[in-house]
Amino acid sequence: MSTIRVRLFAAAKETAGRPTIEFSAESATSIADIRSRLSNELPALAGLIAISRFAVNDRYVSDAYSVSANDEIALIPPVSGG
Amino acid sequence: MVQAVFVSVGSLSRSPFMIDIVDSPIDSAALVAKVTVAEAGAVVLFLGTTRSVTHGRETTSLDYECYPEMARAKLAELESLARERWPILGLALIHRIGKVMPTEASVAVAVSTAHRDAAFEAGKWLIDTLKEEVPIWKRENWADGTTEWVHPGIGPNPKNGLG
Repeated sequence: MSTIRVRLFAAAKETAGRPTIEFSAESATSIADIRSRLSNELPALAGLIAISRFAVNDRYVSDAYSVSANDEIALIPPVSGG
Repeated sequence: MVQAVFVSVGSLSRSPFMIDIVDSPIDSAALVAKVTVAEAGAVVLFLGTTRSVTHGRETTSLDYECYPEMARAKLAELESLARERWPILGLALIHRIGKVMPTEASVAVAVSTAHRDAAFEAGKWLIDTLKEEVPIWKRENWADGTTEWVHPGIGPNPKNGLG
């Protein structure tokens, strides 16, 4: 078991009321697992999480990506810069 | 000083290339000056400014938030990709975060090239790609007192769409 910490931004951060969320997970955890777990932990955000991307160590990753112990994981809702 | 421009292209202050995320007003004249090198025959500047009315609703201001480390990394990647694709002589890519009032610029793209086509193409590609890839978000602060994060694809108000 390890602790997964996910950074939250914009509507995700505001609705969750915090900038990060942590939960424990099996050692080999994919982004798909994290997406699913995050939706369970934050049901009010399920719709947004479904259409968000994830980033690991500042790069977008696919749902198949397996996270490692010291990875920085972030939920990236659809962006709206510019 | 003119001589220094030619001999110190590699130094930070003289380089006609910069990316940045700032929390104060963007000095577009300074950006134009930065990218305008002697070899350039074209300088294109794009400013994204806060619009006071969106879909009929009045906006008081916008608040921008970013994922700082990744936003910088992505801006650097955009610079690198653009320079592979076009013969760019100077490039400034700046996004402002925090509160931005109507008429103020939240983003600036300045590109210089020898000829205009490449400067227009690169500038359009840079702002289009920035808007799709760089982790920055805007929140509309509507005149009626409500606020709304803009997340394309989830409807006008994220919270409404999420139950």
